[in-house]
Order: sequence, then structure tokens, then C-alpha cells
Amino acid sequence: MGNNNLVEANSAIGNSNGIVVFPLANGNQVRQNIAVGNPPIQQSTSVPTGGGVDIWDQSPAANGNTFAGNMCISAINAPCPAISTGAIPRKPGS
Amino acid sequence: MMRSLNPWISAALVGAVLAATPRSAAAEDISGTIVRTLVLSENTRLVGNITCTVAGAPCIAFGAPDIVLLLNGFTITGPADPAIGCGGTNVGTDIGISTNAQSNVGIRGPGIVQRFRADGILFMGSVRGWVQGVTATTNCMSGIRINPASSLISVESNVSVRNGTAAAACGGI
Repeated sequence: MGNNNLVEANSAIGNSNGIVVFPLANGNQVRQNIAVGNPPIQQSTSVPTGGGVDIWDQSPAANGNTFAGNMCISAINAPCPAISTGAIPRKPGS
Repeated sequence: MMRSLNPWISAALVGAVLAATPRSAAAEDISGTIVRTLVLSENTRLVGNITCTVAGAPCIAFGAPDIVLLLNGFTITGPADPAIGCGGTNVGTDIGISTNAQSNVGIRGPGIVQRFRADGILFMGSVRGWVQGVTATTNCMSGIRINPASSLISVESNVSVRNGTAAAACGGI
């Protein structure tokens, strides 16, 4: 990713990585995206050293790339929301 | 009482207005098989699916600024393995759509860009540009990538699924 770009409202699912911000990138905004299931389970089990996360900010914090409101499970240098893993009982018909 | 303008002055005014008005690019319809890089020089629209057999170069490359590629609900398919997507290897030059250093260009879905051995869509050396509503899947590098020399790009409301390989630190976007 280069500089001063906007990545918004995308879905990234089942890729080797979901959203990646490269080391030299600066001033990018990554917001309101859904990035889950990266890498896919097949890759995780067949190539366990392959790594991969939903959102990966490879740039230093001073580069000013921002992350807001993204839905993710795994990330490096970027926030993911705390998602409850407990079952949520639903009332039939609700 | 209205005065009529001197005909020479009128002609000069009309000419000046026409010269100052930006021309809207014409439109081209494309579909079928692409065997060598298709360079876009005007607004372009898919009117059918595209199968791409280009090796060692982008399938589609922008050749002018300020133009748009409309996928129009169709699919652009590259030469990677149809059963397993990219088959675990990537070829960095086999790009689906490259902005090719053109500025202010756009790609609009809905539509699918799939099975390219490199990136599905690559913003390469472009200032200003956008991709919207596109599904990029089973490409061997990123589904949508903005290279370090590009800036002011908007990537919005796209779906990127099953792109990349374990060996490359790329993937969805």
C-alpha cells in the first residue's frame, strides 16, 4: 500500500492475509472493513509456518496509518474489537 | 433593446467555450478472449465475460488518465488453475488489471476478477484512483493491491476472497 489511501467497507475473507499495510506506507486510512478467516483453515493446517493474519500493519507507528471500526479476529499492530465467543441465546421468532 | 454580436466575436466565443469544455471520453465495449495486453484509452465496459491467456504481462492495462472500466456484472478470468485457483505459485507479471501509472482511473463493479497468477487488480504508480464493488478471488498475490508509488486511492465496498499464497505476505487487500 502506498500513501494517503482509503480502504473502506471491504470484505477480506480466506486470503493468505486479509489487509496488509506495507512498511513504507504512510497516511492511509483502513476503516469499517470485515477481515476474518485469514488465512483459511486449509492453509493454516497445511502450511503452519506460513503465518497470516486478518490485518497486518507492517509500518512503524510514526507513519500515521490509522485503523478504525474494522471487524477482525487476528491482527498485528492494528486493533481488533473484543468479540464474545459465547453463544448468544435467541428467542425463536426474534 | 438587444444588440447582436459581431459574427467574428461570436465565433471566437463559441470556439473558446468548446476548447474550455472537457471532452468526455468515448466508450468501448469488450468481451471474449484476450491474448495480449488490452490497453484502455477510453471509458470501457464489459458486455460479456473475458477469458485471458496473456502470460508475462497484465491482461488489461490503463493507457490514459481519467477513464473508467465498468465490469458491468461480468467476470475476467486469468490463466491460473481453474480447480484450485493459483495452485500455490505466483508469477509477478501476470496481473489482471493494472492502472499502469495512469492517474484518476477507476474500476467499478459489480464483477469478478479471478485466477491471475499475480494481483487481481494492481494500482501501480497512480495518483488518485478508485475501485468499487469488485469481487477479487483466487488470485495468486493480492486480490487488490496499491503499490508504494501510488497515492490517494480509494478501495471501497469490494470483496476479496481466497487470494494469495502462504509464501507471499500479500492477500486480500
